[in-house]
Amino acid sequence: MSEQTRHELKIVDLHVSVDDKPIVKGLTLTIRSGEIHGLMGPNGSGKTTLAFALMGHPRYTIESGQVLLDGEDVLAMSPDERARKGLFLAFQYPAEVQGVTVASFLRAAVNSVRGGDGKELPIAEFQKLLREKMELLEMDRSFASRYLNEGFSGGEKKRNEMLQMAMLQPHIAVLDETDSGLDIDAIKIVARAVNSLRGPDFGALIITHYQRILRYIEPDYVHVMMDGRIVRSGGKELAEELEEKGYDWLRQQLADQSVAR
Amino acid sequence: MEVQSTLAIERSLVESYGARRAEPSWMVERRAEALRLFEETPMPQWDRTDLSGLDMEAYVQALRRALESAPAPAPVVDLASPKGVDGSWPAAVVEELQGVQAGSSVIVHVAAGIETPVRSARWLDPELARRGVRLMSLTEALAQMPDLVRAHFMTRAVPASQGKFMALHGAACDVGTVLFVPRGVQLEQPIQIVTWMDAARPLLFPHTLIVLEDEARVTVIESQMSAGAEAAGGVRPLVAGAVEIVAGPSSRIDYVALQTWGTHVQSFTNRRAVQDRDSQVEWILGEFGCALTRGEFESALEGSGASSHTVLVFFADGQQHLDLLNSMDHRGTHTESDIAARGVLNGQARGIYRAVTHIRSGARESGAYQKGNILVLSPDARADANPSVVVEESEVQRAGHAATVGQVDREQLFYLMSRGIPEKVAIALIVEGFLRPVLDRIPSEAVQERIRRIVTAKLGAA
Repeated sequence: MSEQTRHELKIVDLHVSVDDKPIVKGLTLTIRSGEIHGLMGPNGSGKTTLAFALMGHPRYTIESGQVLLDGEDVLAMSPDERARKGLFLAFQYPAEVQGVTVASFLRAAVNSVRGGDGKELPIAEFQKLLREKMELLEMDRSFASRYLNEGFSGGEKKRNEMLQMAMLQPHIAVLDETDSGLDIDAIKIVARAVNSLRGPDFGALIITHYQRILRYIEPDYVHVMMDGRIVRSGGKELAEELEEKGYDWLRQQLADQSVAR
Repeated sequence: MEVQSTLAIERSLVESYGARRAEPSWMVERRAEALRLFEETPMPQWDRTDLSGLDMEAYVQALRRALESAPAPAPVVDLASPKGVDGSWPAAVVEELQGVQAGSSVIVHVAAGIETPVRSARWLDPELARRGVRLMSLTEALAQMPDLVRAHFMTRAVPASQGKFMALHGAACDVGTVLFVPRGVQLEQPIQIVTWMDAARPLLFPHTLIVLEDEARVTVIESQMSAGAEAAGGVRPLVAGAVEIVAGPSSRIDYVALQTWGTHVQSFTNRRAVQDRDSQVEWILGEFGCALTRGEFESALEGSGASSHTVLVFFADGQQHLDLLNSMDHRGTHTESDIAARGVLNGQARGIYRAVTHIRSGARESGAYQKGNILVLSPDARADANPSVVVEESEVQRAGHAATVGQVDREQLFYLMSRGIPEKVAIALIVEGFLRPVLDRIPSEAVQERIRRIVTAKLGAA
């Protein structure tokens, strides 16, 4: 690793199934901090399954493969441990938690991830940080006293995911279709959140079906996932090409290539 | 066939008990009558609560000893201030009073061993006393306000005929509070009632009688507490308690009861309000203690325009068995009721929650709603939620109910954990969030906080 790379998420030949059905079929990918990766793919390609498996969702079974975060075995960790090690997942459909305010939830999360061993963020500092990040995301202050995701619009839910990411300052963030269902203005806010974290300590995997968001969060690498594995990698031009020509084009390309061998 | 002679208690025992307490003859007569009812009434047959393990013989023996030798209660001590109990009182009581709102009037009862007189202490705001408010022990009230007690004590609200345990209560009642608020008097500060029972005491029959005249208004916060150890000799303490509220026309009471008896106690408690026209009774109930508790809570909406709302929170864990029946009885026209209950079960606890709303024929233009939700945290805990609305009147505004029993949502749990929150903390957050809708309706921050601490302690012990 170069001096620039402070954190690294290394996925090696990962196989994941759901209800005994194989979905991710041998995926290999390394994301280093300082890098933004885009992951595109048609519906059913396994993008969300990958995201949930990385975070340790109990419904997803790891059949084989390895996931290492800074050399440590992620698959042996519970979801909260993974988060404390610096992994973050922005959900496509965040859960609603009745009766728990955004503020109290964030405080518990921040204290778990950034504090621990009595290093809890003092309440005044926490509130200052919260105000700052809410301003960055153009969120009204009343937002913090609403119950977590209850009655939130799609855009508000996504913005709330970004607020959490901004507050927790993860090392590697996976964004699962954070742009789906959003208009351009909302997408720009998501991009602002990601871009504000950009730096040598932060890496992200932006999972998206469309490439719109990748216009605002310029990726260093773009990968395409099809049928459970990465079939092509490239730079940001790959995203533009796919946008123009569609997934069928790529499928055809791949088919031709395998015939040609 | 077994001869029931071991369960019979001589009437003369009750008579001498009443005499030692200097009670008027009509009261002694009532005790004797209640004793007769107790002996005649069979054990209740409750659907999901099996009483066959209850050692009634042991209780009757303990009762006999109490009737024979329990001394009269000590005279009520008048305190210099609401927090003015000294170190001779149990630490839990001192602590409880530290949390009392400034300016609140209080009455405290401590029931130690059967051979020890019940100790009571009181501070009543002199201004309230001047306006005719009375806050007394039952013994005091029998001496100083006998007509009031005679008219209202176990007459309409919780009569001795309301089951075997209420009959027992009527015969053996040993500690009580009487609160009287005269016409038009509206108290701004709550009245706090604290009853504390020693862990080794085998029996307790606490009574609370609240009588409100027209347009009276009061908040009452009642705590029932005991140390939690197993009683000496292995007999689990029996509590048979009653709370009676007589709400005069246009009166209003917010009655908060926090039950934290030790987890070895077996409690049978009836609470009932009889409501005159346009009166309002708010029940805010927290049930957290006892090995076994059967609670029957009811508002009888007799006068037209009367309304009653119940907020109930409960949390049973370990081996606790909770059987709660919440009832709203609509008799008057334009009466209104609402029940909102939320409970949590953990460990191997058993929770039975029943809500009955009865709109009788003639209760025109009445409206009622009930909502009950139970959150089950462990696979071994069992919950029963039984809402029922019986409508016998055709012109009713609304009558609805909803009940759910559910587990922790796995997606919610994963979501919270994915933010670094450890599982135990995440569950605590979910439980707090689940109870929030009912906690928010409790009119006292101190009580909300107290409940939060009880819940946190129960979750931490898991």
